[in-house]
Amino acid sequence: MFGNGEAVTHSACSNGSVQTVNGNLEEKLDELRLLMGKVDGDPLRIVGVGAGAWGSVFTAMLQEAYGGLREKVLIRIWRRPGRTVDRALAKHLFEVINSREDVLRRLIRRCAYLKYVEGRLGDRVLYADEILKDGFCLNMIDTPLCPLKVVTNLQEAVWDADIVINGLPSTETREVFEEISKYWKERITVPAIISLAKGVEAELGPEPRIITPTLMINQATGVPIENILYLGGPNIASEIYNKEYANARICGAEKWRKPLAKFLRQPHFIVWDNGDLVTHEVMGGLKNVYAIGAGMVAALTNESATSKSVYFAHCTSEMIFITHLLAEEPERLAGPLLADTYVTLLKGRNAWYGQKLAKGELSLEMGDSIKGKGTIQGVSAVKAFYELLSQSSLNVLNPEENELVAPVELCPILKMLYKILIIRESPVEAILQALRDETMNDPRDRIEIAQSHVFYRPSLLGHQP
Amino acid sequence: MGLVSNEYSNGSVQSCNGLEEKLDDLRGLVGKADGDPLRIVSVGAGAWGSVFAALLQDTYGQFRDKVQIRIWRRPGKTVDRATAEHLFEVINSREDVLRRLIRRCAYLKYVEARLGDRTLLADEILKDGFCLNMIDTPLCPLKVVTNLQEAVWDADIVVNGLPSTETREIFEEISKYWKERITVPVIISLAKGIEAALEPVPHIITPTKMINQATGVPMENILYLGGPNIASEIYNKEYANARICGDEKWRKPLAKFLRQPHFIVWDNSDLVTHEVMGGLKNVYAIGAGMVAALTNESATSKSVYFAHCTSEMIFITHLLAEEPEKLAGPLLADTYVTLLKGRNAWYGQMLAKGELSPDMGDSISGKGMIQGVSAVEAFFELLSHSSLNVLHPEENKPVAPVELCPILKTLYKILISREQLSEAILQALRDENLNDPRERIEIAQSHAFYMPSLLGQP
Repeated sequence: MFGNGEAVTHSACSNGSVQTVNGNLEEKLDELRLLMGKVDGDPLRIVGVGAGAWGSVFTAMLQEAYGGLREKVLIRIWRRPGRTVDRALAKHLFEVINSREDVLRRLIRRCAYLKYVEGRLGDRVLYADEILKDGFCLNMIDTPLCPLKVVTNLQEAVWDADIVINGLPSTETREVFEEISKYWKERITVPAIISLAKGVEAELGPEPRIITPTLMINQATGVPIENILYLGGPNIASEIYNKEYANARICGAEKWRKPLAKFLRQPHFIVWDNGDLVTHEVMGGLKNVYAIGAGMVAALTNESATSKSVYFAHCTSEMIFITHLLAEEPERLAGPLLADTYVTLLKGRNAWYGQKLAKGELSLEMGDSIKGKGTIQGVSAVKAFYELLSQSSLNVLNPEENELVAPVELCPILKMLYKILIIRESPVEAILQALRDETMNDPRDRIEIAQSHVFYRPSLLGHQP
Repeated sequence: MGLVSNEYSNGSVQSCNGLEEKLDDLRGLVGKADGDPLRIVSVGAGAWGSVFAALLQDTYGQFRDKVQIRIWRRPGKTVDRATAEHLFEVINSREDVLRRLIRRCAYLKYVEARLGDRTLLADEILKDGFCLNMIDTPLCPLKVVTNLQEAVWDADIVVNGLPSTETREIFEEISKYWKERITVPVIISLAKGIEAALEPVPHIITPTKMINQATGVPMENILYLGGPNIASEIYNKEYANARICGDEKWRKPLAKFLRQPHFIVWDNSDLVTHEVMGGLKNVYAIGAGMVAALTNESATSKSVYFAHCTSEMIFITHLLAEEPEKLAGPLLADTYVTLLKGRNAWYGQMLAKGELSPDMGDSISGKGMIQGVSAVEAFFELLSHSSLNVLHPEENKPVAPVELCPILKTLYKILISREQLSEAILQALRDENLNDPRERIEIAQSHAFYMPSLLGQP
């Protein structure tokens, strides 16, 4: 043990500004290492699983912040091998590289440039995992990241990981973590897992309830829920990587969420912590449902601010109504939930998808995984929430008609999105018709309905009553 | 009695039957006999006041024997050369408008003005449907009256389209002309600004209260119409929602009368809270414009701003309203459009870009009154009063409510005391000591903060 004489190695591969490798960062890393029980000479191993935009950015931010402390932390990312980069994308990537002097210099210096020339000319097929090593995420080509250590073998990536970042879509989370659990059978230490996934599933028997990605991970791996956290908040990944000021919230058990919030926090990326894991994770999925509709409205009305506002009034009142079913004190979600909704509606892949559908540039038959964009989580979430809220065992009293109805009957936008996206019996334009139905309630009425009755159903989120 | 179709209508006219019935219902309620037209007067010709009058004219103007719609604005305001040139372009780019002006022998004055050979006045162009604050959106022709007494003396319904900063003054003058009235008029106010009075206890003075104090018209006859309104979009038949707030006798029939296929009007009894919230959102709209300009329209930064400003607004609603949660959805939805597009947000952007400065005042040529500026001062002064102290949970000591509203404080320093530049809004947002906005909401919800005296209630 050399104490003060230990050399600190500066990362030679960093892209963009590197924060000073001073006591603050190293101190934060040391605190986390201590909590994980890491001894000197045994690096903390952090693995991002899945290389979508946010997963890649998250890993890259950690690499930039802590990658210089090589003896203390190793950061890597897993993605599946074999995904090819098509010719058009290779051409665009070549333009991006050549327009960024810092990126161009870096590739030349690492003797990694010529393969992009060949890719541009069509003389070579590039793969998503090989370009990711150079910092290019297939879903976010316009924003080069720092170089990353990319591992395509899942066992090799995760077997000795201390912290796993779930960057997978929710629709792949269960499958991949079930595979991971095979490699973790003989582990002695229990890893900490941070999930970024926002989709949800609905389970209808024995009791209707929502299955969140963190619960999927818990079921697939046996890792206790206290070691699984959800990180949510508005995230336009490229903006966060470009140091736009952003807030996020890490939710989970207190043992891990506070030290992890501190570890993840950066000057331009504020991380707050919250004990309510399930509600925030579900709301992250819920807002993507309505983001698709917002994109449709924006495109159909040529970005009319007035129509967007009408949509926002109705979709927020539906979201508030739904939170009254899911949360014991839903009002506390109002500010942050709606603020997250604001950015999700304004810009983001789900809203983008709604716009493309409305303009006819994409169609439903193309599925919800879009090249260059990734999985549109809102689509599966529409199905999940619709099916859940259609269960007659959850009936609520409709005060206007004084009869019991399924909760979904009080959510006309959700119903319409289901008809457009899932059963496909309505065209995209129907979202405007739903909005303009004169018999539709004042959105304030829906909130009053929610607040004047006891709607809370603990079983919906798997809470014990 | 024959029906005369309005030959000046711009855009589609709805079929006559349902409309005439709605008009007759309202006439019956006001007590109008046959041959005595219902007189509706819009006072003030800002964008929303003009659009409101034009919507009524488009809809009901065809029933000449049953209703007369007119608008008052001050005489003498000149149209500058640049605006006249732009107006000429607008006219020539719209075939329907061009034809209409030619047919009414009203076109050549715009040619003369374009050439600089003639000075146009705001009231004369308004007769042709051009609002000085909204030149790009021609309206239908309007009956414009520049004499206030002539405009309002026999009005049955008055629509207040004035900025709040002029409301008291104008309605005090109107009250002179109403001294000998037998019937009591109904007044709908569109104004969104507020004032703060600190005696005898700190409280908010709303425009409807100003009208009540100035004219003596009972509060039951004064209503507030609020909601997101990008006036030009509403006139262009974008689908919009609004809410008319006030006493039940008038708000329900008026909601029905005002409602159109693309303009839905809901009614609500809580006049004061909605009127105040209309003013509050303009405060934060200015900050939103600043953030948008300073971060080059970053959606992420806008979201951070939205999280903080909505939590401040929610905190403030807990001081003002007994059941503030009921405001959450509609208030935030209105805030959404106000932050996205609108004159207050535009003003914040211009300040941040350096194209305008606070010294130029809050009345901007071509845009009208920026109500958010006076509202910043009103809310700041009100919430700074020590008699309203609340317990600061972190420091466990009483503080003025404004201490828990860092964005409002910063806006005050930028716009009113002017000790800080627009960039300070980003610094306030990025202060690491800033609380999670959820905590501010928790603070509001975990304590009893409601102070009825703030809205003048016992």
